[in-house]
Amino acid sequence: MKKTIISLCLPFLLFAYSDLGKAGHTYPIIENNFFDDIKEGINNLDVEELREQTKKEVYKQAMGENNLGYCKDYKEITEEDYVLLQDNIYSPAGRLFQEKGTKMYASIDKPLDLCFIDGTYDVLLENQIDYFDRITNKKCIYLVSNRNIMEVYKKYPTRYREMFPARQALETRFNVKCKPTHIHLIKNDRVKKEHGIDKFKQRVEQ
Amino acid sequence: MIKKIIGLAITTSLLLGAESRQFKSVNDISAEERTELKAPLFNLLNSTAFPVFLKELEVTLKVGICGDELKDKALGFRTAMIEPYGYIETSNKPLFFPFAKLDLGGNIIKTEPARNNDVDEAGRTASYYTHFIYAPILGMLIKKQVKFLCISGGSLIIPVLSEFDPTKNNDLLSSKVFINMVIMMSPVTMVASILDCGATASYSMIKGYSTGEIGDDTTTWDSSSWQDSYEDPNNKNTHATTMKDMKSKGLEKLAFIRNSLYMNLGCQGFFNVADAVDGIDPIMDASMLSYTVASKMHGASTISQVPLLQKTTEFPGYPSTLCKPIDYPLSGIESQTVLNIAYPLPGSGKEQGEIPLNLSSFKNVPQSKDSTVYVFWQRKDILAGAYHCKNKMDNGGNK
Repeated sequence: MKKTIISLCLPFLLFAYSDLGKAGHTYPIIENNFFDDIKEGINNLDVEELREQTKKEVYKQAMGENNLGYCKDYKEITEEDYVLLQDNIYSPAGRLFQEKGTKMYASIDKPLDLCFIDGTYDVLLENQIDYFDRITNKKCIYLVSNRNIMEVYKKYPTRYREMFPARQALETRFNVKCKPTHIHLIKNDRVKKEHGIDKFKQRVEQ
Repeated sequence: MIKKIIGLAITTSLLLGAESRQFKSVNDISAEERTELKAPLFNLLNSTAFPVFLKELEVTLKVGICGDELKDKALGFRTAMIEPYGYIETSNKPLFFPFAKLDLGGNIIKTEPARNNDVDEAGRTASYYTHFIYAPILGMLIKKQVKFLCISGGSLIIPVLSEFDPTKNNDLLSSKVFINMVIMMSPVTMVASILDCGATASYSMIKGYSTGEIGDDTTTWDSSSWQDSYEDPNNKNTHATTMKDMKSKGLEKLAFIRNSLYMNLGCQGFFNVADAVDGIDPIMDASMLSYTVASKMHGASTISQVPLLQKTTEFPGYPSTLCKPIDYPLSGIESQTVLNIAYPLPGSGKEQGEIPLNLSSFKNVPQSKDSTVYVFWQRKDILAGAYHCKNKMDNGGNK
């Protein structure tokens, strides 16, 4: 019986505590818990607006940029095609692998054609594509400016892997100054052919 | 004996009954029981690994000065942080955005053959569409001013849509456009790839990320085990301050190895510049493609009007980014980014270059149609309070 009473009283000893009081100044925690802030933010977030923004962004991406003016006359220029290294590159052993300012070439025997064209209206677009298809044997990759590329795909439904919206990044990379310009890349060379826009403005007689 | 058999029968029937419910119609199935996959935008709390932010945020008392003119000079505190920068998603369906459950059609553009069925092919028939969506999640959710940390803000932007990218699946054009990436293909870089794999796994271990775990990251970093792995046995030092120095030097060395030759995605080896994948495992393919997207965005930063991805982390021998980010075209800077998978199922953060999760890590989710979404986390080393906090993306993408 004694053993039973003592064992029943044991928890009182184990969980006994004393309040040691408070020392110094204390301040209430006024800052919100980080995850509560996150949850509040999620509750207030307008997800439908974000979806609308996504649709607008896709439309914007589908539009070819309009950074270049029209070429006036035919001009053919051959340049070296390279990119300058922006900074030193080091190997894991710490040795200099490539130095800043090095000219980097992608010397490939297989030719590559790029056609920077204007898509402002249908006749202009079609005339340029007809012309460059003929001289490149339909091997040109088209960068179409000032037109929604999905409209171009409707006209040329099987050629969505050959026609893309124009971008300044590519115009700068290949030193394109006006449109339409045909760039022919072979080995280390960049043959740049600028065409006067006037011959493409009218419907061409067959 | 009979009592035991009856007891066993009752127990078994209860267990079986709990596992196999019968539904009379589709309407009987509750929202939680449905197998429909949740788009990350509708599942932000679970799909974004927010503990990553808290885990990595470290504000120190090391001060620095930013500003060129005397009147512009500001004092800041050296801070390391990471923030969710956006989404990288892959899909075989064109103009399909699984992050927002948005299907913008695309009957004109063909669905890509994501899975490679022909084992004799060189693996070039499989392909995905990839998107990078700039979505500053923390900035969108925490409306209070956090300028001290310069948390990215602004509206949603989509700088990369491979449906409209001429370099996609075009090796020749990719080689011409991204020459600075192709130049890295050499025997030196092949050796570096092996180092990078080891470095990546170790880096991840040091940072304490668990692997293959869904949900919270609970693995903690064990300083003594790291010390045994990396210190010179002839020069052991157990002093507390020196251990901290050794940790920071070790991390610098690992970051250097990982960042010096970026064509190597650690344990995944070389990546294909033109976005083709082997088509065997969509989750692994998505991991590789996310690196490709990030590398292209870094490469295009210096010549693009839209500042895509920039160098925001510090490591020795390279220009400092403590005051503002810089255009740095040569590197994907893997140690700058962490990915956490958000779709088809959420997962924990992983360093780029680690052995990625694959399909076998997840339950079979055929409804995902081989689409994957990763939350793209970006690290920043800044002088908090003095950082040039003008995120150029905030201006609608204009420099």
